[in-house]
Amino acid sequence: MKEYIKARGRLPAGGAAFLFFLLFYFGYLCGVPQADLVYFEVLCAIGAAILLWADVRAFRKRRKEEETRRQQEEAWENGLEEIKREQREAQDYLTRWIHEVKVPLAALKLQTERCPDREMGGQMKDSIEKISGLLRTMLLYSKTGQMENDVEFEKVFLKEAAKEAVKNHSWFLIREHFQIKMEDLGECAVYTDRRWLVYILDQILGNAVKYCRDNPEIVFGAEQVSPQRVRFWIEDNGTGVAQEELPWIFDRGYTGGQSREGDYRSTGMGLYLAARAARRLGIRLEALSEEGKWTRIVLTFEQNITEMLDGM
Amino acid sequence: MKLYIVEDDLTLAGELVRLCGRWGFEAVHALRFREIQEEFQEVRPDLVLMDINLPFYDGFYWCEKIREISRVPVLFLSSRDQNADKIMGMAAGGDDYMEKPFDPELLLVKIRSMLRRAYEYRESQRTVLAEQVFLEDGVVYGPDHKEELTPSERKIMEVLIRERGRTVTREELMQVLWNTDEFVTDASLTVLVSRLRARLARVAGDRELIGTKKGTGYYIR
Repeated sequence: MKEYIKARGRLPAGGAAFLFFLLFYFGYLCGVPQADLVYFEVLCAIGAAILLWADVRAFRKRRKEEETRRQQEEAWENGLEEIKREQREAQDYLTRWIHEVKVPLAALKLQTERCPDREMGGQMKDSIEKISGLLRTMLLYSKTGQMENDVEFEKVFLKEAAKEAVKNHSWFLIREHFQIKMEDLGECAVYTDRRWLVYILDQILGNAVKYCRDNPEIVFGAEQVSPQRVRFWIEDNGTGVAQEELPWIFDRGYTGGQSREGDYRSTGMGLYLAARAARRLGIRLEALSEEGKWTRIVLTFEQNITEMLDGM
Repeated sequence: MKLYIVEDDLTLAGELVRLCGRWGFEAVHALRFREIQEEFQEVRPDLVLMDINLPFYDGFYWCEKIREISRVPVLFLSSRDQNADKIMGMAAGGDDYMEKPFDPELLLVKIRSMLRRAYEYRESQRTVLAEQVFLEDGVVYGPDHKEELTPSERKIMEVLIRERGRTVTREELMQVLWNTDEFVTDASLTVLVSRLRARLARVAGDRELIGTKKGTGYYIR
């Protein structure tokens, strides 16, 4: 009741009092007999009381509805918070787990180096490199959900990023006798997160290794198309992608029509993860290809580069 | 040169000790993880390899403790790759940082450069290749002639000499060069080795110092 008075307050009381006064005065002025006036006033009072009661009821009902709705929203919010918290916990655990695994893996790598049977050592190293690659992929994947918390933009020379990615895959690139060409990268630099850029390149190189043909080659190139735009591409002379399939290669789970013996990373996630990361970094990713001949992945950086780099 | 390795995974610690041994360093790994500073004083190393994830206190803490009493070079080893960790490492007084699992060659390069910076340490070991022919500091000396090797040639000789007694595969040599950002192909490796051989021939005459095992790799006689 108190809430009602607070909410509606002066309006009903003031209004009623005013009306009574008006009627009384008017009646008095018109010479209506006092008894009739009082009788009339009482009727009005009863009417007003009924209206008041109805209003209070409506008010109460509205309040209850509001209360229910608020509780529902709160429950919803809590549920959402709960899910987010669980997701963060899962991600934290995954990150910690991956770091834990890296320790015995490092020991294993050193042990294979001193394996007296060099051939076996080499084969073991092969598996270790694959595991390392998968861990690297997983580590950053687990962070794509919350990239905002993990991104550090800085000036990155494309040549440095390319070198890092190539070294990450050196074991496989050497084994498959790849030729690497980087001359066209020059001193091109962009403003982005270095680790994520290398991650994207890692996925692209992984594919290039997987789908290579004879005399495999990877060519890196870049050009500053305008002060705002840098185009960076990676081209391989592998099996390429059919035109009809080209729009789908960045989709999750896409493994293409060609599957190879001794598959190297065939989860179909590589390019999907690269595309996701690129999107969050504001990099446009495109693929061009001629089936059976070559594939070229182009990264376009749209940014007021000179302005940003000058400020560093 | 003595190395102190602070790593709580004893398997990995053992491997690191072995690896450093193969490189000619004396190495000892930490055992008392509650008293690293004391152990450090007992060991008196020339360089410290410090893992970050340790029991009781983390690597940054121990680095600071060590810094209180010494300016010994400290190299952080970690499975974490955050920039924040690298920065914290430097802030704690560390000199460099390496991620696990790491490439042993790269670790060696870093250790050597840190030692060099700290102690004007030079790997001036004289390696005898043949009678009156030796290699020292990247220069091959002969009876009446000397030749300076290119960085790539130095790297190749270094590996061949270190693995003396066995054949080093072409892939191993290529990997070593790739680690220094020289993405050589099979063909360019062959060219490199023949140039190196020509250089050695100018110094050592007809003696073939580098042998080829067909289909596998090279070795030093």
